Amino acid sequence: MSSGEAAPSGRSLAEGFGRLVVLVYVVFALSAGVRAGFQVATKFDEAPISYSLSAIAALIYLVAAVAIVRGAAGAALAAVGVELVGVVGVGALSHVVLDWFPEASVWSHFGSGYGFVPLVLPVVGLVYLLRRRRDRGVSSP
Amino acid sequence: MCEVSHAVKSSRGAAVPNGSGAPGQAAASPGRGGRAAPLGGWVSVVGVIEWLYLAVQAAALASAAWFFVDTARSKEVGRAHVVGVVVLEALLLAQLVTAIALVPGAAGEGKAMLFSYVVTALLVPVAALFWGSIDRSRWGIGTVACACLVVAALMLRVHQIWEYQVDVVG
Repeated sequence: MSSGEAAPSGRSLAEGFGRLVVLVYVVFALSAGVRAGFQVATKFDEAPISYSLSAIAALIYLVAAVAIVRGAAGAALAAVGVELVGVVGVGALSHVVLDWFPEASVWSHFGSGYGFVPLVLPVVGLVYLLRRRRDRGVSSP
Repeated sequence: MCEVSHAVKSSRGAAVPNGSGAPGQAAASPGRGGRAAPLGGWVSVVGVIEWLYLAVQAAALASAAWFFVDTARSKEVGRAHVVGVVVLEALLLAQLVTAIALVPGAAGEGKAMLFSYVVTALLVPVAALFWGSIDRSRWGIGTVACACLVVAALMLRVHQIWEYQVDVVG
């Protein structure tokens, strides 16, 4: 995260480290989305809560990616914030109410099925977005 | 492809006599050129899958390490990086061809998943190369490095499906 090194105020959110963030969000939106779509279409009854939550997660990843690409800092921050609350909430819930998660969801068990990337991602995203906002606040009105 | 391999694994094959046309065994269908011979010793098929997996994984992780080092050195995406990605893509393509040759006729679950993972793994580095190369900062190549890690993760899943779900042996 090279915010110290020449972070020009004119730089869009999707440039610099944001480019990596966008790539990861798009990959997650697509993989979680396709998978959830497939699960909802073929075996929704087996684990309705898991699959619905996966679909919601995919949607939020997509919103975050699009917001960052379009430079909508507020929307991006909101999406990433919801994502963090979601992964922590669903992660905790999946440890408490086992019956609701007969199958894994993207955020169940704090994203353990995805190497905990779903837990790390919103934290990285928030740090990046907040830094960018701070830098912007200093250099331009 | 016809190399003789580990005796350990051949115990699994003893149950399926060659050419007897066990249900679901792809090898039984004649006229699909070139496939009868390698499947005569199916053990080598498992060997090919294994070696290809290791090669792809090594290429993906090595590229990721290399690209992250260049991220730290603030390099822009250059010709050498493109060559690295092309090598990785060639191995992934070999993976896809192998899957097309073996999976549709095999028994087991998770085939659609396997193909979606392999195709995604093929697309991600290329997309990242385009997306990263328009960046003038160090994170251009950093993005491609990250894509290589995504490939490694996807191949891990593909390998799990090969191991536990799709039964290439028949």
